[in-house]
This record gives sequence, structure tokens and C-alpha cells, in this order.
Amino acid sequence: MTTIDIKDDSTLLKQLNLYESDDNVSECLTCGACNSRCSWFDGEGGPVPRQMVRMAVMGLDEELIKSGMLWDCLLCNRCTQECPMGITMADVVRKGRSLPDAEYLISEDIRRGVASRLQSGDVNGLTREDFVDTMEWLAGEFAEEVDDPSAVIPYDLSDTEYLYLPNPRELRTNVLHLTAMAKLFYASGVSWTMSGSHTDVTNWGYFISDDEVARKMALMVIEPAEAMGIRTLVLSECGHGYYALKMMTEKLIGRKPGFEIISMPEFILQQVNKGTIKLDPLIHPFDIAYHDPCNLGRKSGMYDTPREVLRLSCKNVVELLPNRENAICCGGGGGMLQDSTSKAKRMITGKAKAEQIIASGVRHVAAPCLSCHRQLGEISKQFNLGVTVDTIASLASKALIL
Amino acid sequence: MCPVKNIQQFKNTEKSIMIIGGGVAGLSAAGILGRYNLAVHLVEKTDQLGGNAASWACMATQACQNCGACLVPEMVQQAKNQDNLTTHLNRTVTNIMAEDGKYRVSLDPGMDSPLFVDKIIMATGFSPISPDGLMGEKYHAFDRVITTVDLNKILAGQGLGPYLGETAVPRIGFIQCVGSRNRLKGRDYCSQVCCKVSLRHINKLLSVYPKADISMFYMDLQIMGKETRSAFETLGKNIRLVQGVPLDIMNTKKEGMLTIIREDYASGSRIAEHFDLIVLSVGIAPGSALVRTAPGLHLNADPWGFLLNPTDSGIHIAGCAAGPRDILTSKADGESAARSILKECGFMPSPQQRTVAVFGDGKEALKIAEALRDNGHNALILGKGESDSFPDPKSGLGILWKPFDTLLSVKGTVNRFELVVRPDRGPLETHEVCAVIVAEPVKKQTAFTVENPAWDCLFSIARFEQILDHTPDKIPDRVLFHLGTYPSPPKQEARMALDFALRLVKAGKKADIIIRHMAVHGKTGQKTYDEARKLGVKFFRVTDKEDVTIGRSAQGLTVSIKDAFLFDISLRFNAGWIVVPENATPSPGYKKTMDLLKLESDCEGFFQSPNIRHRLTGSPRKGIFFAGACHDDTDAEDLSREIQTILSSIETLEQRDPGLLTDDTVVIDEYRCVRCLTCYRICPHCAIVIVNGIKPYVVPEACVSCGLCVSSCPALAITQTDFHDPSISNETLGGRDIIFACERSAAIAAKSTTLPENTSLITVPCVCRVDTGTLLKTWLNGASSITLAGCHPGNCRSSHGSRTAVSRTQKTNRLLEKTGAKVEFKPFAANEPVRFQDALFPGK
Ligand code: SF4
Ligand code: SF4
Ligand code: SF4
Ligand code: SF4
Ligand code: SF4
Repeated sequence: MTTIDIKDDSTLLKQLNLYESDDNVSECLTCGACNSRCSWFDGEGGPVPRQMVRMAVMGLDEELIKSGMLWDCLLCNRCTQECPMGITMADVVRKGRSLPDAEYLISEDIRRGVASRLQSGDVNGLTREDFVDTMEWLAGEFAEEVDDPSAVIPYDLSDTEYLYLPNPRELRTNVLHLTAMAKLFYASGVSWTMSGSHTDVTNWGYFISDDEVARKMALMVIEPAEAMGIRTLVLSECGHGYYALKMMTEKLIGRKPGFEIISMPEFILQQVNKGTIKLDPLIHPFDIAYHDPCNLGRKSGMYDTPREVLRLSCKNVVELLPNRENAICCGGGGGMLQDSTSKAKRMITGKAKAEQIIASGVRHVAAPCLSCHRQLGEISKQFNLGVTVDTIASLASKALIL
Repeated sequence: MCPVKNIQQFKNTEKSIMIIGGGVAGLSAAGILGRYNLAVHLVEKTDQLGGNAASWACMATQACQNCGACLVPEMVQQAKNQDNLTTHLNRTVTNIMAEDGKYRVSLDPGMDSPLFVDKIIMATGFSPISPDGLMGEKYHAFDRVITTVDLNKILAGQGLGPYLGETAVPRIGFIQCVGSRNRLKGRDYCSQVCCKVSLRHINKLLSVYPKADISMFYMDLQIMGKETRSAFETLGKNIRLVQGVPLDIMNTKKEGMLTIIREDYASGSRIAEHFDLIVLSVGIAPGSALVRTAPGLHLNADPWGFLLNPTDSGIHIAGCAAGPRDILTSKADGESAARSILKECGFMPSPQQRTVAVFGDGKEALKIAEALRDNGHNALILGKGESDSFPDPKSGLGILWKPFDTLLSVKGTVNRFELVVRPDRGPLETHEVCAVIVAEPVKKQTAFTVENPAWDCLFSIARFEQILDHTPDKIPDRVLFHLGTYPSPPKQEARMALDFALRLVKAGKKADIIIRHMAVHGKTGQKTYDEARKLGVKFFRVTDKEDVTIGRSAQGLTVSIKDAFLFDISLRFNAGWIVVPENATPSPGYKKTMDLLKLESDCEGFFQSPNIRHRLTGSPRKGIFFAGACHDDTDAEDLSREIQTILSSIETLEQRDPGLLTDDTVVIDEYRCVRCLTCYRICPHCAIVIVNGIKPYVVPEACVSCGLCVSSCPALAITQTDFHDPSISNETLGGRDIIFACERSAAIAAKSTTLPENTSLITVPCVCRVDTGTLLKTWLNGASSITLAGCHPGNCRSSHGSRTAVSRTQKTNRLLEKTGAKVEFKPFAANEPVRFQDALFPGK
């Protein structure tokens, strides 16, 4: 038992209770509802959400930092989805992570990624030359793929309707995903482009909860895109990237960006509705389950669009239980997946997801987020699920009737 | 003697009253109004009377648990017998307009012409909150997640068998506050009753499944009312209490079980637990009809939709329409509204000055005396000098003060009590009063002591109030209120501490409150608590006495608290003062009062009628009322309500009990009477007085017609015109099963049962009406079995009925031992038709 003096004006407390809701920890009713919903479930270790709030309320900054809960938290918000006082755990935890004294908790990988992004514009340090090389190399592949020698993946065009903002992995380890996306743009016949200044949909400033960093990263996307004169920014399937750019930007940069921001599934659905593309669900005749990424679902309120696209692309979509507002995090959120040393933890947090998938009996899972995608793949291996994981847009791409 | 005139002369055939809502409040209002020459319309939107409580189960185990649910079938039956009552079932009010001093009411489905009424009682009740949001999904997804409303119906019906199967050790979880105390859902109020309801349910379940493993997940238990407090202290030992209400239920893990995750204090982490059944304790939301019926009345509602006191004097609000409350409070509300209407319609002998005795001269008693005076009555205070303002010669007008010590005896009964007083060795005085209100102060005992009683920084809440009001400058910068004491502090103390903490933070000081369960009573309790947290009052939660350590330091006090939510951490801070509540215990002086009034104390030693029919303020004796902390855990709001109830009862004290199904008709034949005075001694209601020095006389308005005197008179001198000597004694009963059923309980429960052919059910006013002689005769006439079906112990209308019946069956069985006869007593409540059927005709 440690004895600690409570503080009424700790550094963290000064950062909290600034708004009517979300960060209003002092109003916590101590109802304990959040404890029953943490995505760690009955796993070992991990955050106890109400304890985090209590520590904040009592001014126990140091204890909170030492507890390790700030970075064990997946920022998934499952716990406070229906907090009776409207507290948002991810906001509270992020304010905790942003404490100067908590800086040392940031993992090496994330530290490096942030530095690299700020320096080169890409979390993996992809240079402009690398980008051009990749695009050149992809051009041939793509023409072959769509069987149209004149087909290209346009880049650095200005004044297009759409700009596609990829996940860095699409320019490195998962270029197939990029060609699949290009195929969708190509098929819909819209004016679009990629850009050498837009290689990274992620915003790790969000994970480290440094709003200045997050703001810089957002501006790195927004300002050049505005300069290009695009109308719509289409985000690669990335949960936190969507949340940061779509839901947080205004707060971060103090204004609305000069274009619309949509996600890839939204783009696809718009095109299907316009009749520019057609999808054949029979291409995927198997049972496939939809996984709700926390950042997209609970945090951004997008539940139906990706499901709709999945239904258009696959014959038999089934639901994991629970789902939507109740959905279980893949177990890789909050920056955990971005930390290569977190594997052991992620296999604890991923257990509930694995059980959920086993219970559903499916062999295929789709998720509109490349992070979830990776974590789900690892879970499948770890727990011998034998499950194939795809993103929504890649399935749609395969289902295209050209 | 108080001037009591015949009610008849005030009768007024012109007036008509509309009661909207046929639940507890509406029915109890109808019950009072029913005895007058008024046209009463009762509009009910469903197809039957009784409201929500009609489907609730009896919670009695060894004894009645005072829930009040069994009153509903009784009231429904009474309404059916009322000549002046027109019931409009399946009707909703669509429009109400004020027109020529009356209200024009249109009903849907339409009637030929609208109704014109003089007064309206809004008794539109409540809807149980249906689980919504995340919990709603779980409720709909899993069969074995039920609500307390469902559980009530299940317990009233065939029981939990289909849910729990054969298991003798079911794991059951109760989740409190479902739908209540939730700002996100726009219901940031505490529903007040659900903690109590769950505790009763748990008690009941434990009587059916003694080995059940029951967990109660709570946010803050509302331990309000002294019976809830003692029930909690006992029950708390047999179940597991877990702070924190889960918001998620899964069945992903263990086959067939429901899983919840909770915080585990031992490991500082989260663990999964599995249950056979989960009960969601759902709260109270305003009745859905309010919005439709309200517009024409210019009624205002609070932010949640509960009706506020109307400005229009023709409208009265009663029951849960005004806010969450329990059955007995709703009933009191309904009666109060009805009595106000009687007064307004000129049905009371007015202007009428009555003298009412008030026992006690503390704060509560003074408030009562003032209310009496302000309503044109005389108050005679029998005081013990508890208040500085008495005796105060100036307060004289309408209030007379006598030292309690001078009271020698209380004779007579309702409307004609005689208080014999001998002031200071002077001559005897006799004061005639029509009623007595007992409002004596409780004995207060500090709930927290420190090593050194000489500490100058420990204050009671009452003392702190004085300082706050008069010398606030003395108050240090940080004050700690300790509400985590044992047993849970009285609600008034908790409320005061919360209010004071708020005042302190608003004045720029710091305030902390230690709690075990935060009391958030009253409609606004939750809001006050919310405001306090928002403004920075810190709340520490403890679970054990050991969790708080307080020491002395240069700055005042050093406080160390082991907060229940912070694993392995003890919190420390300095405070200037500590303010602690006082627990209420019965004052030693109560004994004398009880003796004088011929009343018994309740099991905690306070004044309280054991019978729910008399509550909230009544006693087993008509014309004697209880108010304030001497009878229950009350706060200022409750006291005002009690005063209103008592005032309206006093002002309409009549010559008959309006609650009676049967008319009084107990008469002593003075020629047969041998003056043994058995009746005078045993009447549980002191309804028999001695006149002319020697003759016993039954005072009609004090008698409840239980028949105990009739069946006990050795000279057979007492008759009851509505119920003659059970005629059964002269019949031949070859092979018949005879059931004597109390008209209040078993006879009502039997209504829906088709009796087997060879069974006779004889309705009696009370089982105590059946004497040993009748039992013997019934047996000798050939009955094959005899059952006395009365009320659950503690809920007998005539207090001693069940007890008397038990001893008479024992006596009869002894006398008939050789014959192998067996007379049995079995207790039922009016709302137990299924149990009645199962207990008396198993397998039929
Ligand atoms: S759900 Fe909200 S109010 Fe309840 S304990 Fe958690 S943070 Fe506090
Ligand atoms: S945000 Fe997610 S991981 Fe973090 S405490 Fe809440 S439920 Fe647990
Ligand atoms: S006898 Fe009546 S008041 Fe007593 S527990 Fe049963 S239903 Fe409730
Ligand atoms: S605290 Fe209030 S709302 Fe919650 S269960 Fe108890 S009485 Fe109901
Ligand atoms: S019938 Fe009952 S209440 Fe009436 S006088 Fe006799 S014993 Fe008393």
C-alpha cells in the first residue's frame, strides 16, 4: 500500500474538465460501467478505465503514468461508449499520454515513426524518389492488371476531383492493395490522382497525443492538397487516420479543410450509387464477417457504409457478435500495433476477437482498416483460426465487373 | 369534545371529479371520494385497474415485507363496489378545457358528449424504464436477462423454474440503476425505489433458493427508510455486494452462462463472472400519457417529464406522475389529493376549528403545530423542552404548550381523545382533542468518534449548520464530511452534508465527502450530487471502517483514505474540520408515549404501524398519527408531505373508516354483556371505550370491524351485523374442505380460482373472527379439512388476527388431537392468486 498526497491542481487535472463532456472526469459517477466494457476483457494486465479516471480526479499523475495503463489502453472507447456522464476514455487517456512526464512511455518505433514523418513526410521515411520509382514500376503492373495498355496510376496531377491518400504500407509491403484501389478509381472513370506529397494517411501524433505534432501532420496533408485544387480527399482504409483527419482536423487546425474527406468505402458506395461501377458479389461466394474498427465505428459513427460495400462485394456477409457500438477491438489499437514489441500484449487483447470469430464460424473476415487487417491476420495465426482477412475496398476491387 | 357533525348534511350532489389514471394513486383517491355524494370518473388507458403495481408479486417471506403491492387488488375490488364511481377503461384523455368554472374533458375513443367535471386528479403514474441502448440490446438478446418488472411477474406466477431449471445453487446477478441516473439518456435522477425493490426481491429469492449465490451490482445503494436499512444490514451478509454496474453482458465464454466483466480489487484488474440469471433493476419514467393529457391544463413538467405542482387549484397531482415514489407514498398522495378535494368541495364541517395534540416540541413538532395553526386548528403541544423557542408565551395564538411530564393519561379514541394533564401539582385538566400526532425527536448518536473527544475540529452536521449560518468565518479552508459511517446515515443528514459541501465550494473553500453509498434521495438528489462533483467536491468511496484513518496535525487533521477504486493506494490530505452525521435511535421517552397511547413499538423501537394499510402516517389506532424521524427515516420533503397527509386526514376525520369494505356494525348488547371488559382489553385498535363508568361501547369510527371482540366475548354479547356467527356451524359438512378466508387477503386471492366441488370458501372480515368454538363445530359437523387463510404476519389489518388464528388452530388441534383432525393457518396476500391455488389445491 502506497500513501500518496492528493493534488487538487495536478498537471493533468488542469488539462481536464475543460469541456462540458468527454474530458469531464470530475463528474465521473463512479458507476463502473466502463470497467465492464474494456476491450481487454478478462485478460491479464491492461487498463482499468475507472481507475484511470479516478487517478486523474485525485491528481495522481505520477501513479497513472507508472501504472502503464495509458499505453495499454487501445483508445478504442468501448468502455465509455455509453458513459452516463459523457466521458470519453480515449480523450482522457490521450491527455494523460500528453503529460511531459509520460513522454518516456512512447515506444521506440512510434518515436522513430513520428520523427521520420515530420522530417520526410512519411512515417517510414519514404522519399520522393522512392515514391516515383514505385509509381513507375506499378504503372506496368497496373496496365496488365486491368488489361488496358493506356491505363495508368496518375500522380501529381492538379485540379483533379479526387486525391487518394494511401497507407504507407501500400507503397511498400502491400502494393497489391494500392493497385486494387487504383483499379476502382480507374473503373469509375473519375478524375483522380496520387501525390508525392501524400504518401501517408496515418497520424501518429494522435497516438502520442501531442496535438502540435498531430496538427503538423494534418497540415502536411491538407495544405498541399489544397494547393493541388482537389475537391475530395479519399483516405485509404485506416481507422485512426480517418478519425484524425475527418473528426479531429477542425479542432487541430482551427478551420475546415478546403475539400471533402471521405474514406475508400464511402467512395466506392458513391460510385456504385451513381452507377459508374458495378460489383458482383458472387465472386466471393463464402461467408464473410465484418469487423468494426473502433476508430471508424464508435469514434466516427460509421457503421453502415462499409457493411453496404461488403454486401455488394460478397455473397454472404455475417455479423460478429457483438458488433457496431458493442464491437470488440481487434486488439491492436491505440498505437499498440505500431509498436513492434507489443506482440505479447496484442495476443491478449486479441483473444476476445479470436473467440468472437471462432463463435461465428467464418473463414473470412473483412475490415476497412489496414491496422485491423494486420492484427486480425496475426490473431488468426496465433489462435489457428485459419481466417483470411481482407479490406473492404480490396474485396470490392476484386468484385468489380469491368 | 370535538364538534363532529354528521357528514350527510354536507353532501353535495352537483360536484363531479375526474381521476386520470387507475393505478395506486388514482385508486386510493377514488377510495376516499367513493364514500361521498360525488360523481367520480376514473379514466384508465389500459383494460384493467391497478396500474403497474397490479402485476407485482408479494414479497413476504416469514413475514410481510411492507411493499404494499397487495393493496392493489384490494383497492381494485373496492372501486368495483363503489356506487358513485364510473370507470372508463381503455380510454385516454385527449383534451381538457376550462369552461365556465368546470373542466370539459374529451376521451378517446370518443364518447357521445364530453364530460364536465369540477376537479381533476392527475394520477397518470409511471412507465418502468425499458432497458435501452447497449443494455437494451442485451436484454433483448438473452432470455435470461430479465428486468425487475419481469421478475415480479415471474414470482407472482409460476416462479423461476423455467429460467433456472433444477439448479439449487443458481448464480443470480442484480444490476442496479438500469436506465436511471444517466445524464446521457436524459434521466439524471435516481428512481428512488429500485434499490429497495431489488433488496426485497433478493430476500424473496433467498427464501425460495436458500443456497442461491446472489450478487448485487450497485452504483450507490439507496438505503433509505429504517426498514430498508435493517433489511440491508441482514441481507448484506448473505449476498455479495459489488460496487459498479456492468453495462455489458455476454455469453461468449462459458456455455449457457451469462458473462459480465467487473473490476477485481484483489488483482487490480478485470475478471469475468458467470451467471444463470441477470436481473436488471429498472427505474421509473413518467407515464407516457402525460404529454397527451397535459396541454389543456397548462401543466408544467420538470425536465424529465414529471408534473410540477399546478397553479390551477382545480387540479391535483398524485403519485408517480409527480416523480418516482413507492406504492405507499403514492397511496398517501392519492388520499391526500382526495381529501383536499373533499375540503374544497365543502364536504368537511367548515369552518371547523379542531384541537390536535402534538407530542414533542422539537423542530419537526413545531413545524406540525404551525401547520395546524395556519390551517385554522388549535395545536396542543406536549413538549419536553427540546426547542429553545418553547415554551414561548408569544407563540400562543393557536398553539398551547404543556410539559409532557404533566400528561397523566390519554383516554378515549378518535375525535374524542381526552388528555388528562396535571400542571405543576395543580388541579387536573382535561383537554379534548380529536387527534394526536406523535412527532417526538429521536435520540441522536454521533456516528463517528475519535480517540480524543476533546478535539475541537469534529462537528456534528447539526452543529456545523449553525456555524455555517451564523459564523461562517470560523470555517477552515478544507472541510471533510464523513458519510461513510455505520449504519448508513439518515437521509436528511446525508442531504445536509451534500448541501453544505456545495455551499462551501461555492464560497471558494474545499469540501470532501467520504461515502459508502451516496444517498441521492428526492427528485433532485442526483442533480445536487452531480453539481457537487462538477464544482470540485471530492468524493472518496470506502468499503470498510478501516479504510479511513484520521489523525491530528498542526494544520488540523491528517486524513488517510483507502479509496475503493484505487488499488493499493492510500490517499492522504489535510483538512481543517471533520463533520460527521448522527444516527437516529429511539428515544428512551418513547416507551411512556407508547404506554399512554396503548401502542407497540416496531422492531427497531420506533413508532410505526406494522400494517401497511396504516402507513405512511397512520397508526393502528385511528386518530393517532406519526410524523418525522420518530417513525421513519424522513427528510424535510417527506415531513411536508406527511404534514399534508395528516392535515387532510384530520380535516376529514369521519365517523366511518373510508377504507372499509364492510360497514362498521359491531354492537355490544348491553343486556348480555357481563362487564368482563375482555373486549375493551383486547381490541387492537382501542375502539372500545367505557361509558357510564362501566359499559363498554364500540366507537364506530374507531372500529375496523375485525371481529376479534366478537369472537372473544365470553358472554357472546357482541354481534357483527355484516357477518353473523359463521353459519357453517349449523350445516352438515360431510367430506367438505372448509376455508375461512380473510376478506382483505385470501378471499381476494381466491377470486380467480375455481374452487373444487367439495370445497367451501367462507369470507370472514379477519381470521380472528373465527373462534375456537366455530372451528370445533365445523369439525364436528363433518368437515374433512379446515384452513384459516389469513394475512402474512405483520400485514394483518387488525394487527392480531394472524397471531390469534395461529393460536386458535393450535388450540383446536390439541383439543381434536385424538380425532386426527388438522386445522391449518396459511398466510396469503391479495396479490397471490397463483400461490393460493398452488398451496390449497396442489396439482389442480
Ligand atoms: S462509465 Fe463514465 S461515469 Fe461511469 S465510471 Fe466510467 S467514466 Fe465514470
Ligand atoms: S479505451 Fe478501450 S482499451 Fe482503453 S480503457 Fe477503454 S475499452 Fe479499455
Ligand atoms: S403481504 Fe402485501 S405488503 Fe406484505 S409483502 Fe406481501 S404484497 Fe407486500
Ligand atoms: S440508486 Fe436510485 S436509480 Fe439506482 S437502483 Fe438505487 S434507487 Fe434505483
Ligand atoms: S371489531 Fe375489532 S376493531 Fe372493532 S371493536 Fe371489536 S376488536 Fe375492536
